[in-house]
Amino acid sequence: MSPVRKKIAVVCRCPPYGSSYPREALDTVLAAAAFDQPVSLIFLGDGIWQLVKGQQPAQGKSLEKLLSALPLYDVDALYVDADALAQRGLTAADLSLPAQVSDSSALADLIAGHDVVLGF
Amino acid sequence: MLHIVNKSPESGSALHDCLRLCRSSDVLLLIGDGVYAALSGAWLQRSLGAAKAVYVLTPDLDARGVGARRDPRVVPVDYAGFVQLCCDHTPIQSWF
Repeated sequence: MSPVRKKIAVVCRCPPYGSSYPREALDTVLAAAAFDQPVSLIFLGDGIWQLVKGQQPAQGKSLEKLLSALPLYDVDALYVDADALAQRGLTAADLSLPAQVSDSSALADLIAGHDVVLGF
Repeated sequence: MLHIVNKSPESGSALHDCLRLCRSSDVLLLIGDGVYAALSGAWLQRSLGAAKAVYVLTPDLDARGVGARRDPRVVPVDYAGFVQLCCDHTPIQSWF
């Protein structure tokens, strides 16, 4: 077990299925968790679409299903940009996982409190 | 913290999204296609208003032939300066 612990913020701005960024972000989060590194997952802009319920891709794995594994890895520090939700006509009830809805200033302070920030 | 933007302001939402989360104590470094935001205009005004300081990587300005168009309020840095900024600020967030 590594004695070093770095607080990692994974920031997601891309919607699902149109690129590999969301899957890569999730792989990074799970790897961090597996190595006992505290990780926060922050969804901004179109990234919030990753959390929308009812995804049914005709081929390949559903990101919604993959994301549902996060609690099993004890990853529960999920944050969603309040403006991004409002601009897209969404509310927390539309999301497949519990996430803290925060304004931009709170998200800025949150991210600044991490050691490493990875953008996807 | 240090924000690094490598896309031009109109090509996507990188700079826009960065400025929304940029605190007045944070600094902004423009590299790659992001250097176009170091030219005078509305995006630069917004950037100067959001961050404590705006820096630009001069080799990337020069590659694009726009070094002479750099706004005087943007601080030019070379690669050594880029490294120094990364040492001086934590965390570092890259926007694309």
